[in-house]
Amino acid sequence: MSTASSGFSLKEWVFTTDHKRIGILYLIGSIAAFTLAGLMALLIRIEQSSLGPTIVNPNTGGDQYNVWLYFHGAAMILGFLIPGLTGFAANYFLPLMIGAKDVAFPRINALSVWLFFGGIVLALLTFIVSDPPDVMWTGYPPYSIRTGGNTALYVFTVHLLGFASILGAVNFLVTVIYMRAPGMGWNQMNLFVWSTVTAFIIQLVFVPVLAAAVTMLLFDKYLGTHFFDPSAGGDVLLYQNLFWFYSHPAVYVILLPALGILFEIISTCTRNMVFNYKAAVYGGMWGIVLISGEVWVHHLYISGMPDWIRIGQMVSTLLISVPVGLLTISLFGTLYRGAIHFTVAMHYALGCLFLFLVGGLTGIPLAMTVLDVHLSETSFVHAHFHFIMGIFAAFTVFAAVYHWFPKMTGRLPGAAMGKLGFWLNIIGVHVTFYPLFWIGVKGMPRRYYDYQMFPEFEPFHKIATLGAFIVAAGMAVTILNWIISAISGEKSPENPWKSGSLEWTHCPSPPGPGNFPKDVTVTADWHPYTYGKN
Amino acid sequence: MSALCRYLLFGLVTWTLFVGVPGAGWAEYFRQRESDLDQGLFRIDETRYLGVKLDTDVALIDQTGKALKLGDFVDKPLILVFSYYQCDGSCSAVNGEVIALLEKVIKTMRAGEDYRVLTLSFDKADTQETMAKFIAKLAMPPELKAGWTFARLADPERIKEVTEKVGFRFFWATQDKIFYHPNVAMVLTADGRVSRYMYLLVNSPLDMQVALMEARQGEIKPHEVINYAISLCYSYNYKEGRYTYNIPLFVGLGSFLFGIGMLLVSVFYYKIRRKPR
Repeated sequence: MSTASSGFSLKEWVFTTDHKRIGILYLIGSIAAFTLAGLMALLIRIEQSSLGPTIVNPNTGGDQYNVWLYFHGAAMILGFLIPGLTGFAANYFLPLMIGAKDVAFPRINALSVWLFFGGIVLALLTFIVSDPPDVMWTGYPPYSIRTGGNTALYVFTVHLLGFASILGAVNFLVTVIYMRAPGMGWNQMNLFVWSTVTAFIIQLVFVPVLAAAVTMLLFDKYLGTHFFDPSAGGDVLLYQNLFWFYSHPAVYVILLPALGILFEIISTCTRNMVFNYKAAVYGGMWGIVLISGEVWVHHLYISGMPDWIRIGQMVSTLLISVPVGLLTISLFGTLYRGAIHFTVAMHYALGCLFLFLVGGLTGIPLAMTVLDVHLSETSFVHAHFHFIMGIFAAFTVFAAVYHWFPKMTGRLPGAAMGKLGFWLNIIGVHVTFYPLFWIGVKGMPRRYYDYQMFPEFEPFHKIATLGAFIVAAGMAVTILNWIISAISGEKSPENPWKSGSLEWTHCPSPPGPGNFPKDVTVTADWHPYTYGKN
Repeated sequence: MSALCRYLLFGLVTWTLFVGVPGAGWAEYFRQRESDLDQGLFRIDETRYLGVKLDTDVALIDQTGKALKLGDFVDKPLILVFSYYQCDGSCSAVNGEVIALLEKVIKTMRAGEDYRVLTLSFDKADTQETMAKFIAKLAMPPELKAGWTFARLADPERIKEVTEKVGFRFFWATQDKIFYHPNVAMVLTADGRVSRYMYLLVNSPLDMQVALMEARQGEIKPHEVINYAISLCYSYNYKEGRYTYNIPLFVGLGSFLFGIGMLLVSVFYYKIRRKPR
């Protein structure tokens, strides 16, 4: 049944316009970024495992540590999470889910993956140039303008990755609007498709703001302009506003497709209709789109602003928990009375629900001004966003790879190694970040390589470092499992999880060029989640 | 002496009398006079003094002889002008400049209701009489009178303490018998902190309005929303001493609109392209 071309050709892969291959290229690039970002995280944790300089050069300790922080943050968010979810997952699965033969603009799609790899190469130059960027992933002035580090590399990396995602956004929005299978109504689309549409709308609207902000930063540093120089009429705080005006919605660019993946896996593995489908779409996902642009100021509570803005932003930040809550209710509701199949992907999905709860609940005190002023810039914030964004979203990417592994490779993923990797990962994450929550409340500042003023925190850092190594072992097992399974895994049946979604029911595994052997048409009573009726 | 020498000498004397002397006088008349004092001495170090809080317990006596405290002025934004009432130089001009700027602001903000003005003497020799004469020389419009107080310190020994607290320095020039001092109006927040120094000769009414709006620290009334939004379009330029356009804000807004434009164009372009010809 498969129509895939046989044999490997590097030229075909480099110049491909096939959305599935582009998706795989995104996966390879983003996993590479993730691996390097993970190594940086290990260096950071080793450094903090004892008081004083541990592995950094004592003379340039702060600068070296800043470079690690920069690469870890930029590679995780810009190189792994966003491309992993909106590049890999959307490219591979979205056209299949709507019954399309390809995306609307295949060549633009190819350009976007080239730009993505260009951005990854620029980010990798961090390890080669003599003046690597050391500006975190935020690039706040005046430090980013005064530093001897190479801020230009940061700016051009943002430009390339931002442009790649804009091209992707245009492409997928048009694809979903115009290329759905005949008969497929809006309310018959997979929730992953909906989540990608809403994420791309946010991305398309807000990315230009970040691009403009970092461009002005570049001009300030290298061309002598004063956009963010208060002594010459510039506004240094405005950079923070512009940055977070994009970067907080970027959290939802990550969150929405991640939740979309969870809906697909949980519904399939519980053999249950998605609970409250319309509320999840129109209340949850569209609610997030509407509110996402109004909550960025909570990142700046301690930067100085009128009280009424603080209170307004506190309300809108808390308000976004309503649509997020609707999505959470739908996810948990889908589990209710389901025939749960504990596949590896389902393990990750259930783990994600717990991570999401911890991350979401620890976000509430950070939204509230009175508590945020105390917790700002502490490791509590650090632990919170790792739960809600970093680890949660990374786990959904792993879940997606496990769930659609048979679709991409035609083979089943190794279940034993997969579950071992999962347990190492989930245990390691909790061992790493719970101590950081605790010492954050006690006042441990973020971004410090040394903490001589808090010697009592050293044991907590040691535990966190141990946790990081457990996670590293889990990640190694996971990636190794994928490689082994892709090469010598058991052949998979066409629809191993008995999914009702088009990519499983109407096209071979792996799909060939054109995706579907026959044109797909759906009827009015078709739905990807009609498990109870079958 | 040869004839040539005589002619040369005659020519030189004639040139000196008719061209050189008037020319030198002319040049001297138009020469840009350099001040004996370095104007930088009067420049207030804004990085050091912005945000400084005034001592609210300082006792004052106003133009009516009423005893007040500096703390009586800190429930709303305050424009504080240090002057001395026997000044025959810039003090009247400075106060006059504040009047001229505020007259343009009256339409949007009202003196006494939205802000206050306090002219405070830094001269120990000032009395109620010198104060009254000074006020009489100012053409104060009635709209401003209600919110404008002239005063001197009840305890003149505290003058240095009060002025130095906000970085205002002055010198008595024995030869000229005048005080040299900066021509500055300070805008203070409703809790008595310095939020802006206005070097008046370069400021426009808009600068004053934005400075007052900033001093209110976001406490705005519903009818002031537009003014508040306008104030966000400007940021203070410390080099020029005035407000200039907040260009990054416009760039950010433009790029946001560009994003929305791309969203609409990408959807509609494809729709148009798909239409059968």
